Amino acid sequence: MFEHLIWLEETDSTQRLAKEGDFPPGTVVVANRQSRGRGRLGRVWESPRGGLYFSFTLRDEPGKEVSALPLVLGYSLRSAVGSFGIEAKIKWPNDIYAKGKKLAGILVERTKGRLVVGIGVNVNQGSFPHELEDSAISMRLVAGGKFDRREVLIRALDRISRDLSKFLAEGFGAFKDAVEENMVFLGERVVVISDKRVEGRLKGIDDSGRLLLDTPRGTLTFLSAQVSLRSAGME
Amino acid sequence: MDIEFIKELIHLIKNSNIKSFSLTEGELKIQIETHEGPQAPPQGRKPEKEEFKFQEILPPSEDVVEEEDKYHVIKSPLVGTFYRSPSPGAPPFVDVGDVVSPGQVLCIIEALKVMNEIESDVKGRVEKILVENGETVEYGQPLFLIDPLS
Repeated sequence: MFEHLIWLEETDSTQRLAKEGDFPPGTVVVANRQSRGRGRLGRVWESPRGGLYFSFTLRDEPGKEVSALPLVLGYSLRSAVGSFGIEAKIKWPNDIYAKGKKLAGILVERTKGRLVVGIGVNVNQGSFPHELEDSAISMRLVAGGKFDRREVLIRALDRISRDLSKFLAEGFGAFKDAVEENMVFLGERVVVISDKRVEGRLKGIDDSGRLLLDTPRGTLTFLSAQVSLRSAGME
Repeated sequence: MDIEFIKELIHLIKNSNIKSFSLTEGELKIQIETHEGPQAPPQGRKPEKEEFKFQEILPPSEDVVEEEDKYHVIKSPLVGTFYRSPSPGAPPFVDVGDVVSPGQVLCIIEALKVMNEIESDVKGRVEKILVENGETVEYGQPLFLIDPLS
């Protein structure tokens, strides 16, 4: 699935390069640093040296249901870091958490017949800027030692290509249970913030990857972008 | 009642098989009679059809007819959240009055954090934006009206 690799010392954003560059499908663009790393909706993704930042494109097959793709990729990343002994969980719908803090994030953009996937993994950062200290963590901070980022990339791409083939062939149903079992806050009391703030028990996800929240008024389903999760106890 | 409306009326009646038509509005009365010409309509049409056509031309319901006929409608291909700009605070992809080309991104619809860029499939002027930023849109919901330019 991944046949070409471009590894740059620095770029503004691997996502922009993958999106605008005319690379063949299966090209992976990696950078040691990003000056303008992008999170979802244009938010800045802090991209200092020590992290692993990469993007790649996939052909978007018309009519294919891909909305659960971030959850599948999250599952792949979770297994990849797990192979280094790091226990991580999926935070619905597009982040990976370890020790209650963000370890990796996924961004998927669908444009002009292509899916452009951007992934950022905190690998060897020894510390984070003050404002991120409480919310971000790296593999190094979890395990107490450095990792070879090439090896992290190889294992991540290996799992991604395996899981993507399965996802494209069998759909999200093949991943639903595995993703759900590995979700952060599963079964716990959480606050979901969308248009309104709703408190409930995180029940899991449905067959399309939508979030299910048990509340006194019944089970609510969330698809919306503005949903953010936090443990009810943390407020 | 303006001259364009009368012209349109004549045109519609000419192309129907109505033989005689009259309309009174205030002091103005219009009487139109058609005569069989070389473009005579095919025989055997049912009378109900005639009545339908007659009704159709009576109300000049410009708003509805024009929006549907004149403008190209960009619809949402999925359920999700509608965003007019690539990031909060950034200028919108397009504004009313902008001329867009095929392939140009008009908005983002986000579902499960997948950012779906929605493009224009025509060249034209953005006439109306039908959805507010941050609103949830349904499958097939009209998002933009584009006035096509040839």
